[in-house]
Amino acid sequence: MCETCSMSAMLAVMNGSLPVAVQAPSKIRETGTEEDLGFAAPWHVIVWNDPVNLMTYVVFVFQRVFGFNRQKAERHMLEVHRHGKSIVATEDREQAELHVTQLHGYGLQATIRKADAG
Amino acid sequence: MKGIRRTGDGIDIELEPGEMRFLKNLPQLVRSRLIQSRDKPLVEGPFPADDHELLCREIQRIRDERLAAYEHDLSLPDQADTCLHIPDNRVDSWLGFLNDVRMMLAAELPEPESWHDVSDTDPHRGDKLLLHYLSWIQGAILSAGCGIDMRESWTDDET
Repeated sequence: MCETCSMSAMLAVMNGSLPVAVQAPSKIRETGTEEDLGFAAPWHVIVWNDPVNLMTYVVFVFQRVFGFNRQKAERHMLEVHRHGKSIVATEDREQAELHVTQLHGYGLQATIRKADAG
Repeated sequence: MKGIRRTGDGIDIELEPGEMRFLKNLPQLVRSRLIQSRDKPLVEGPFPADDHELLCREIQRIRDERLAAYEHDLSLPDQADTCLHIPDNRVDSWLGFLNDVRMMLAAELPEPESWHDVSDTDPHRGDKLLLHYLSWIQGAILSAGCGIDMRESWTDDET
């Protein structure tokens, strides 16, 4: 991912979309190509309600995927059940995508959303 | 006594001989159902694709890989006719497999959310009863194997 970001940053510089003249490499990172791509910003992992998965199975999945204790897993499961969805994690994009893939593997419906997207 | 219970290093499932045969043959049943639906555009709605044939092939590849993994993890050649032992390191595979079968059955219903309702004249009665039965087994394994039990305060049995 870092290589991709670096490449994107280089392309942005070459296209003139990033100021380069007075910035050291560390400053280029701060100006935010990674942020533009959303990798540096926090992302929500959202689990959605569905009519088929058993409630106990959802608790089991939350414990397996996120390492939640029983109480926390049950709280998120009930939030999904009662409110249609639950934000189960807020983390960097790569980790969020990994968690969504794991949740899909267990048969749960999950998506990611940028944390500051409202 | 028939049932599903915790043992030292896993769980024991003790059922009627007919139920046990059904459970042991479940991977083969799933394979045949998947082969029947090989060309079915299961994901056309949510995931429209430019190359439908390619998409179907990719889905089939994933299904085959997953099923092969299940058949490996769930193979129980030396078990008795009425009791099978699932060691702790295979409980997750069993739970995942049972859930996949339930999802597959529900996806084939015209109204998946109605799988709870089974009437005598329901044309999908067979699949719905199967869903209920597999739900019971899955719930019992979660209870015996993982200590996760349904609570009254949760009110019903789906998310």
